[in-house]
Amino acid sequence: MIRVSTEREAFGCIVDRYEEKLLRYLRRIMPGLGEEAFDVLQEIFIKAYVNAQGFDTTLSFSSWIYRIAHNEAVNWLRKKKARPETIELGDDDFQTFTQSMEIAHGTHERALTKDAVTRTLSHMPEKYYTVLVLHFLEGKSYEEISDILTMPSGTVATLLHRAKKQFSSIHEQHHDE
Amino acid sequence: MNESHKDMGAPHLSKKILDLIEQKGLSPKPRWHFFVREWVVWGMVCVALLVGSLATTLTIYIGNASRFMERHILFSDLLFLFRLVPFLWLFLLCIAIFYTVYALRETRRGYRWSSSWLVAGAVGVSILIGSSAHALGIGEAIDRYLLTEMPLYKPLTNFHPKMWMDMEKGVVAGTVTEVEKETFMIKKLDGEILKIMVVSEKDMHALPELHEGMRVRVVGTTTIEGGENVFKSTAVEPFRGRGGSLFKRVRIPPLPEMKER
Repeated sequence: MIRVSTEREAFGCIVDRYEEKLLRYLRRIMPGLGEEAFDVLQEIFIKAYVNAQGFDTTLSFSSWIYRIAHNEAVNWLRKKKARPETIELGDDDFQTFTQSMEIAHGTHERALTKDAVTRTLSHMPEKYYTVLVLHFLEGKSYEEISDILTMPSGTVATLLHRAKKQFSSIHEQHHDE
Repeated sequence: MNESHKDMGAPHLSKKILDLIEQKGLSPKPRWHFFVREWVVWGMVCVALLVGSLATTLTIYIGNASRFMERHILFSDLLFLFRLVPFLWLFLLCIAIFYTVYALRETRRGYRWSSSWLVAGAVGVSILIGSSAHALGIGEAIDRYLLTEMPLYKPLTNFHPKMWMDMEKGVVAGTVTEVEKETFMIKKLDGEILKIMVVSEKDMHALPELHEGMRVRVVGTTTIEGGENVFKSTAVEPFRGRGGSLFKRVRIPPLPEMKER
């Protein structure tokens, strides 16, 4: 009884520690989610609790819980047959994203405006958008993204490279229009 | 957008979740549940690898057995060679490789390997175990068992014993009925008796295993001597099942007039 109570208390600490991060991640990959984000978040923590004994100790706990969050988000979108139409970037996200992209990709010839970036991101396939979010906004390494999206790190590197290339290409295209 | 739900006056999420867990009576799945799942997945990997290895054994065995004909007479007959390819086993090998890769992906850390590495690993292990099993004669044993016990197996593998008995193409198979100094007699697969002529006594010494009741395949040419069909042999090989390489193959030097073939 005491053990169960301690376990639950410890789990409460985990919820407190990750709820902000996961909520932010959910909102980034599922824009326009609104209040439903809390239902998804709740489901993520319940799944984490039920599957806690299956946690692979070779992973970081953060990668493991992000994986559950990502899978839950994908399931939710599939269930609702929804696809994020318009990406919304907060000011902080915009700053982080453009800085990271410029560092990673060299200085763009044309300045990146918030509108242009959100428009470009909204036109990107989900798989590319997700790796950009995880790498540039969530600050995850290739290894961590590999553990979250359950794919080899080589594939993550390829996806990220293609995503950056596609971002530039869509951005240029929209700018010309 | 990133406004916390706490700031919006919602109840504390951890408390809400812990209440929900209590209310629903949820508890963490036991550790053995995950162990069992992992073992089941690895079990599937092993089964798939075993099937792949057996398919490889059979492919090597049948390919080896067919090589006897390819080497001697049928190098120009592509359609015939096509019929010798063990498509059934190759197909099963492909399915097994596909399933091995799929099951490996389902293991706890399977996602970390790229598909090309997984395919290479599965093919490598299948070839390693398959060739070892072939060396132990397991491929031949399975093939013979299936040929005798499963009527559907013969047509599926395009196995027609009579294709080893095309005298026009210079190949004949049968059971040795009599061994003499320079000749031996065989009862062909169609029941007909045929006299096989060996070049010289020296060549007969090269056939220590040749004895009555032994099944052999012979390559050579048909001639008529003294009014009867005689088959002059250039190569004799023990013929078990489809042939196989379990026994040492016996080579007879070609007769002078056959060198032009």
